[in-house]
Amino acid sequence: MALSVTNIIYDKVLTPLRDVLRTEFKGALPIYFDSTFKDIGTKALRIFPNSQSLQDRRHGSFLNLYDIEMTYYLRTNRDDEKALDQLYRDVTRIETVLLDNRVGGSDSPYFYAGQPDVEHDVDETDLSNVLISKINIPVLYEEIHDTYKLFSTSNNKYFVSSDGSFYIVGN
Amino acid sequence: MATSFTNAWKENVEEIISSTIKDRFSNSLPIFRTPNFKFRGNHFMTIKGINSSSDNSMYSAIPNKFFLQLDYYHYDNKRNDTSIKHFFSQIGRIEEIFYSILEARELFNLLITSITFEDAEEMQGFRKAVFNIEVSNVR
Repeated sequence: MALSVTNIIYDKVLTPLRDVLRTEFKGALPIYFDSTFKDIGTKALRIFPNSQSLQDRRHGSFLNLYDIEMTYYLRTNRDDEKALDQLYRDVTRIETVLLDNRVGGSDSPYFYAGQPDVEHDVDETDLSNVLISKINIPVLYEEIHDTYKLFSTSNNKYFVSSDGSFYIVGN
Repeated sequence: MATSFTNAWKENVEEIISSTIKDRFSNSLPIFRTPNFKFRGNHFMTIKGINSSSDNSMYSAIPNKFFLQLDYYHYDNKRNDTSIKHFFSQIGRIEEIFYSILEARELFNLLITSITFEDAEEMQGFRKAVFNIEVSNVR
């Protein structure tokens, strides 16, 4: 039997977060997954995990905390309050959407371990005329995994079972 | 007569982990145990021991907890949604192998305490995931 694998970070954490934001902004804010800045327009939101850490380990499951970083980029030639107002407005809107969706649905049962943190005026790229804010959000997700048992025969050959199915994996 | 002993780090820990991962990836993911790092191929892993501590002393048995670091390197020249999805898919696969398969072998109390994601210019286009691992074994 093949080991069932879940792409937790992409399918259960990043994509649901991106989808609720895409629904809210309706194409007005391009959103992408990457660890570095991409020049794709006047404004954009980059999402990427910094790390994950184990919170709890139970028989047949593990619970991880994912530290997700969202970076908001606004290109502007303005050097006045209006540029800042647009930055604050979009970041607050993102923060509000995240708060309103702090628990995922049945397809992606994530939930937040805390509220989003926001940091403005981040210096990240060499580009000029770009305002940057960071939003960090801690996401919890529990994965239920397959369990196997080891039976060792007298000649030290191994048989592995999973939920009552027996087969030889070789030794 | 010389003392009879087991090279626990190699035989009881690192080789079990590396052979299991290699097997589940059908030998498509090379794993290196080497003190001298260098980039190799499109994706690969390195495994190194950090430290160990004794759980307790028992008569004629040595129960130890081993702390290791596994670094997964994945070359990503496309840098698009599909390539990122594939990178995280590999991370998920390695994680499931640890919790599903390796616990059925001679190791127990196996934990991936954290995974950190790195990507820098000096990484030559590789994405990196640093797995911090904790396992126990009795010999």
